[in-house]
Amino acid sequence: MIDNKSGQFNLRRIIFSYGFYIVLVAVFIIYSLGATSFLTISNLANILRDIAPLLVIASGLTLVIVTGSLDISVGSIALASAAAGIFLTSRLQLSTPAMILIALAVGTCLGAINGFLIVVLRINALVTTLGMMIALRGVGLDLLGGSQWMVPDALVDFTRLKVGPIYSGTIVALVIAGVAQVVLTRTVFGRHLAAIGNSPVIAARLGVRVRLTTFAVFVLSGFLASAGGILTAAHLAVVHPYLGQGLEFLGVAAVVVGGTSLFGGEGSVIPGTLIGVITLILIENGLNLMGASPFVYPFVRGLIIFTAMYADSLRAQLHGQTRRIVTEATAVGAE
Amino acid sequence: MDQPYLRMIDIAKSFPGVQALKGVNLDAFAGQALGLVGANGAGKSTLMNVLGGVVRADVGHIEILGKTVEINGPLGAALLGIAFIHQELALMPTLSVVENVFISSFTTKGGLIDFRVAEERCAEALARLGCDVNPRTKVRDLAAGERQLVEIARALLVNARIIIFDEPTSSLTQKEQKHLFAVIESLKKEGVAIIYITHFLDEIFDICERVEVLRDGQTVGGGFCEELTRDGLIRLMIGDTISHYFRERKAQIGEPVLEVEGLRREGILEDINFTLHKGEILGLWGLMGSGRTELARCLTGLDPISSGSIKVRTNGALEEISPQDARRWLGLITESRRDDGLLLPMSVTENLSLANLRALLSRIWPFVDSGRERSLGQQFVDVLHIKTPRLEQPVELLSGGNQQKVVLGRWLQRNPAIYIMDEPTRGLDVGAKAEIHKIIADLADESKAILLISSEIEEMMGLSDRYLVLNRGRIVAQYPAGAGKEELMAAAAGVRTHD
Repeated sequence: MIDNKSGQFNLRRIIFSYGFYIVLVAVFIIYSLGATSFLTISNLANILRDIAPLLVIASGLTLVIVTGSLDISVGSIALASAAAGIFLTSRLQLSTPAMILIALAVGTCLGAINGFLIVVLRINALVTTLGMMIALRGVGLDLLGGSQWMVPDALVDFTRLKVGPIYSGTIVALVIAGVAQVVLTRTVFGRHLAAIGNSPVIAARLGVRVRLTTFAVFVLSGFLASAGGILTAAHLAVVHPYLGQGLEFLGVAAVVVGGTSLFGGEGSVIPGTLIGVITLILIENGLNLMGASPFVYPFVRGLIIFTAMYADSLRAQLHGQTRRIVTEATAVGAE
Repeated sequence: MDQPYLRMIDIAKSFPGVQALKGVNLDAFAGQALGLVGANGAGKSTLMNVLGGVVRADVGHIEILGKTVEINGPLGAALLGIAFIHQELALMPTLSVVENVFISSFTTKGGLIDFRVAEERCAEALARLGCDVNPRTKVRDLAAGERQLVEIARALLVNARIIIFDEPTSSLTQKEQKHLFAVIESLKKEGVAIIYITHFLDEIFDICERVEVLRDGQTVGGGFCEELTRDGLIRLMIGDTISHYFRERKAQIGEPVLEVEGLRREGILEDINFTLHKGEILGLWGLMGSGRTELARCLTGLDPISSGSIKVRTNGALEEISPQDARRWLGLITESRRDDGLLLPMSVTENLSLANLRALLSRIWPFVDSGRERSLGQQFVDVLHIKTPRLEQPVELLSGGNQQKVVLGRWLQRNPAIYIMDEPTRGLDVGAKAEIHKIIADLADESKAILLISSEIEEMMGLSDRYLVLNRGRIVAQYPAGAGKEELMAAAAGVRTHD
């Protein structure tokens, strides 16, 4: 009887673990049939190009979410750091690498401010990053003076480089995601992130430096947010006032769609978040090709976020249930 | 005798409002197990938290092999070879066994964790404990006994010389418990000093060489187990104030108030029939997994029933009710107060009034009258002797016994005619148990009807007027008060001796 039950549960578990692969494949097939220009090398390459900024930002978010926390300031950090970079570069006549370095440094510092507020002043992470999200958008807009600024040609040229059909930005993003995955699963820092996601109290008791690690992950998230900001700007060839808007929620959605639990403790950048990002970008790309109204996009995004959250909640319930079944089985064994 | 491996000398610690430890002395020897017993709130946990580096003592010092040591946090304790196997295990369910074991001591190669070495060492340590779990298994997929072994493996791998066990058997099956004891014996042979905290005195006599008794933050006695008796230990633990409670019936058993006929829940309960009378305590006894808790949940409408009827005396006559309405007449005291019974971060008052809010509504507004809520709360705190510094105290900060009194108090405030009590004294010490027993007996004397579920046979026998024995979802036997322990046990284990 128990075997029978666990058999059922394994089936459910498979659906929960691989559900979004199934969705991805289904969406892919539907679009291939529905939009003739979808399944072309150039469109697929475009999709891969479009995933780059979101993938970089979502990689950092994955690490934050694995600790059971959330950083919704990433979109605004992307804007503020890119704006700071372009602003200083044009005022001081600096080179393109200097602009990149400035943007990354600003992103890192903003992440450090997040970390400081959360770890030292002990303000709730969601509230902290919400405040930063609002405030930094203002800072970014102020630096830009409300208008869009051209990005140096060298940067634009770089992102037009291709290896085969794949754009250089995609390669950068994949490398970053790969490194994030290795950091998450194979380094002490990464395992400590997962430990904190299970329970900060237990992690601290076992000698994990919870506060330092939490601080570090927000710094990292800020750094990767600014990297995502640079990639976005390079793609569009401009830093515009709406850069990064909504990216934080799209990022969280991608992370959760990829199977990383908002409850913390487990998740992956590759394959998880990568799949999530591809799914989201793919859906929008297809909608675009099929000529859907742009006003439909936010609705579809919202729907995806709900579905992903619901699946996450079901997964959590599933694990609660399997645990109960284990204890029942041992109780029966004792009799 | 040799020098003690560990000495704790004159340890004192106070928390705001409580002097938890008032100068405790304790010696532990290598290769021996020291039992640490005491009522809830006696200071065992605080003492062990001092040793484990979780809290810092105000006064006193700790010596290891005659040298004074400073314990700086849990990591500092680990460096000194002190490991703490917590009652609520300090494991991370989404991580693998090997990650749980090495979380703060991974060896790295070029910045990356060397999982091959870690897995080998982990498997080795588990093998020493007679456990063949794959180190890559996630902890959430392990059984309770295996989880505990993982935690012990962690202690072995940091070369712990002192291992503290805090109520290690509370979630284990009998087989797992036996295995644990074998592990502890082998740890002793390796020269580890064991400190073993428990409520179960039998375990002390099974596994420990010496025992130390704490009461009110002081060591009040102890010595070699061979020279002590169970009764002697209990006397030390509770002082001379409370003796083991045996109920004297004062009120007469009256008319039936609850009648259950042919109750059935697919696959779990089968053909349950019984009647509960006014002023009666009906004991329901069965082994784990017999369907005790499930029956309590069905009666109160928490789980659905497949067929059968539940009749309750409402207005002078027995009337069939639907289980969903049952909670209007039945008060359920649940088995696990932390999970199902209490709102832990909320105050004593709020927890007490929870079942009774409707009656506390102001006469004018549809809002809770907080003045009355408070005064009723205070009244029950006084009646039940709930030890709390103030009414606003979050319940999670109370000791287990006082938490349980809050659960009871909640239903007393509501004042139903019928109580269903599922393991009302689980995890409590002797003193707190006796107090809860007294409250239950008083309820029966006030003509309440009580269905008492307990896995402790002495408790059942001391309190109940009649016993039902449940086995695999069926009532297999009924006994009047005074039936023998052996008869009950035989019925519960499926041997039919009575019909």
